[in-house]
Amino acid sequence: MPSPFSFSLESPVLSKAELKPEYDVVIVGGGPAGLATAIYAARAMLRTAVISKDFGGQVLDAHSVENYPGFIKTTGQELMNAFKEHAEHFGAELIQATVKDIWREGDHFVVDTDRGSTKAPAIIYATGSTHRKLGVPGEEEFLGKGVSYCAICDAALFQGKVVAVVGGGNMAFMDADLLTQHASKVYIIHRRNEFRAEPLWVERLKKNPKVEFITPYVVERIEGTDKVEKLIIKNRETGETKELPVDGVFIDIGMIPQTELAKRVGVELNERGYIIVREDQSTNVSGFFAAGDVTTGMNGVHQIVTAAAKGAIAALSAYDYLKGKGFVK
Amino acid sequence: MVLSDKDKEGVKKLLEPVQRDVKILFFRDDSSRCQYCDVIEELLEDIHSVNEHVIYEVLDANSDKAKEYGIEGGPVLLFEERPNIRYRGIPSGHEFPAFLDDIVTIAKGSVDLNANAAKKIARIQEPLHVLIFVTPTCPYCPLAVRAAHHFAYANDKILAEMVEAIEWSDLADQYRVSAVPKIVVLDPETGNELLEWEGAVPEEVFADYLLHALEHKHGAHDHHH
Repeated sequence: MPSPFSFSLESPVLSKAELKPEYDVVIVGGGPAGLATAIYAARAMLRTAVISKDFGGQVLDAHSVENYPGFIKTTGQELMNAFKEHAEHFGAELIQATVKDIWREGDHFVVDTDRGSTKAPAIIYATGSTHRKLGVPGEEEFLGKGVSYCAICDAALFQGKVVAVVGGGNMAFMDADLLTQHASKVYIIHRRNEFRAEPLWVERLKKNPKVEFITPYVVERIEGTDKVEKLIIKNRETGETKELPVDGVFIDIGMIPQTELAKRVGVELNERGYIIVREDQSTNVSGFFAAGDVTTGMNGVHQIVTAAAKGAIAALSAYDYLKGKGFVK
Repeated sequence: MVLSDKDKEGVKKLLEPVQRDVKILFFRDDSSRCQYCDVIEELLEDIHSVNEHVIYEVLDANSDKAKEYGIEGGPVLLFEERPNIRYRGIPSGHEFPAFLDDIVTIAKGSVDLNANAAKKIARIQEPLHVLIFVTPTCPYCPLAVRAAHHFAYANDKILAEMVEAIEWSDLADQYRVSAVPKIVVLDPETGNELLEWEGAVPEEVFADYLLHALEHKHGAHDHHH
């Protein structure tokens, strides 16, 4: 993890490449699915662009990745740098930009960004997901005043403070682990007594003297004057409500797929808002493929390794599509 | 030496476009916030060792020279020919590429801004002071730092300072920083806060916010955020 004594050379947000007017395939989204797609597309010798606001996606928030095959322990940042370097090595162009719109024009898709427009006969949509909010009073009001969604960004600002992490998945446990390096006390608040996080994470944090588990509780309100001072939490079994004094609260209760632009080109979503993909990662829109957390194809396993695997399938399906339609030889 | 040999090779490559002198002034104050001052000096020396065009001078943050730049206390880094582009604290971790990017921008003498953002920034005719609070571990922060520094390059009415929130914890407390990046826009004449927000927004949105800040200065009451 970058520290005051480490000097990254690669930035996940500062890229130099310029958008060209045309590609064979445009990948929207630069997380593990998008970058793995780019490796396979570039090796299929497709003219490949990845357009994303950052390269690494949610993985950048992970200070400790211990389940990506071949790496016993690495950081999200280092792993994503390796993905990025790998994609660029084989010729994929990584463009740091915000995609504003996508539409079909004849047999191509036009992709409009804040750094210009481009077009391609195939799109691979790998935009992932964004943080789910608790949706409780105080959450918006105290955003940046004790409410955070990025422990890797903000943990160091809570030196010696008392914080809570809300959630029961890997990310919640990872963030709690990181916070114990700075805070004096870390509560993990979860709605159930069971956790979705890997049992290894649960075991580890149960042994950490700074960590206290509060289950089965939900957060009802976040309160304070200028900044967060306490949480009002409720026991889901007994209905009992109590106050928990904290200086900060980190929210890790899952993700919402980012499908806005896909919807505009008529891509079908399931009832939970995920893009419906077939086994080959194609969607109902011809030439429009999708991969990773934004799709139904993950079987609930939102991991770097699964996202990368689906990206490989999407790239090769897009290649077959482009060949079949005569766009490439 | 704070950069490994491998990192030095990488820095050398990134700084290839730097073919003329770019001078960095480093203001340090050994009595205050100086936990990384020696690291900053070593870093500047390491950068100079791979590209002799990058030169630096170490100065006292409480000297007359510091006062000429309006500096009260260190650590502050600035570019002599573009003193409105500044780093309060160490440009390390994720901020290091932003720092190198600034060196390249100044050497090349041009900045690549989003066209709409460029038009908006050109409209700013009054001084604005922009603080961008960061931590070295924040992956998204350099986006805000780069945007603000590019704006400052394009328009010298804008003073844009990255603030490393751990070293400058007094300033971080003053502006209630508990999530980064946090951007605070000040009126340099009065020191009044005009606008603040959290998060790295696209350049064009950032430019809009600065225009909003100017409206606030003139008493418009459209409350933002």
